[in-house]
Amino acid sequence: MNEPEIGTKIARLLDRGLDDMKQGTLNRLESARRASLENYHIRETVVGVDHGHSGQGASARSGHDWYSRTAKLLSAIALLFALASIAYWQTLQQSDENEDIDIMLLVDDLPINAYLDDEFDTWLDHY
Amino acid sequence: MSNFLAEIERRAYKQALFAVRDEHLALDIVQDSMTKLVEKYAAKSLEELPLLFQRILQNTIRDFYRRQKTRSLWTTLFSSFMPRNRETENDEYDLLETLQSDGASNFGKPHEQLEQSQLIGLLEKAIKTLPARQREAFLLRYWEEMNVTETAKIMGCSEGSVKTHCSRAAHALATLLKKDGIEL
Repeated sequence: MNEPEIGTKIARLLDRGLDDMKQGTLNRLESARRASLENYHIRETVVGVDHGHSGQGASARSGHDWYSRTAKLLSAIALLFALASIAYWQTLQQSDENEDIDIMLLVDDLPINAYLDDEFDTWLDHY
Repeated sequence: MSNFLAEIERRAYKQALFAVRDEHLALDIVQDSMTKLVEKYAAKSLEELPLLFQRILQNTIRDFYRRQKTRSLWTTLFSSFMPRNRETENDEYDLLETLQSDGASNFGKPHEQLEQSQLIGLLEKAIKTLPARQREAFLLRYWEEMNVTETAKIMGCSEGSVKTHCSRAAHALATLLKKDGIEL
């Protein structure tokens, strides 16, 4: 027996097996189908209302759009604020370090390694 | 839409049940698939619905496998600290490779022992033992009556792979049923 023949016979047997399904399972399947279709009918009604009263439908949709746009805008602002805060904090850190070096220079308390650093000499020449 | 769902719901449930082997999960998968179909493709024509529904159903089943794999990864990680008492079942178990080494069948001759419902029971049990991809291809091709191109589209693989999966599944099922004394 070839593959399509086997396939067809098995499919026929499986079809017959569908009739023996438990009533409880069939009921649950039916309620699952109804639940899915309820959403469909709600959406259909909304679409119907949109077509019938385009002003109301449009305002409802534009209200939803407004909320989603505002949410996106607020997220973008929050992100920008976070980035600006990080940049500001890094600048503060840098100025603190510079301040420490200035103080050490003024009180003549610079570590010996600083004088051995070529970059430090360049920096001193520069100022 | 309602008629379409009523027509396919039993087969969809059985397909999910063959894959996940749990009635509640299978029902959840069918409901998820129906909801997704209704939400996204309610406006599509009736001819397009079977293909779309099958794609959604198979993806939902695959999602279940993915979640199960993640869960079992954690379980394996934790259980590696515990002593091992039994062999774990291999997901990619191939029926054809094991049939030859198996011993005699537990069942007698079909005309003596099996009613039709028992035969169907055996068949369904055999289908459950097929590797997931073989089962998916076989059921889509022969039960859902999709052609090779449609099946390949749903499964996201080549037409050649579909043919290979179908051929192996058909022969595995025939061999297994023959082993139980059932000639198709």
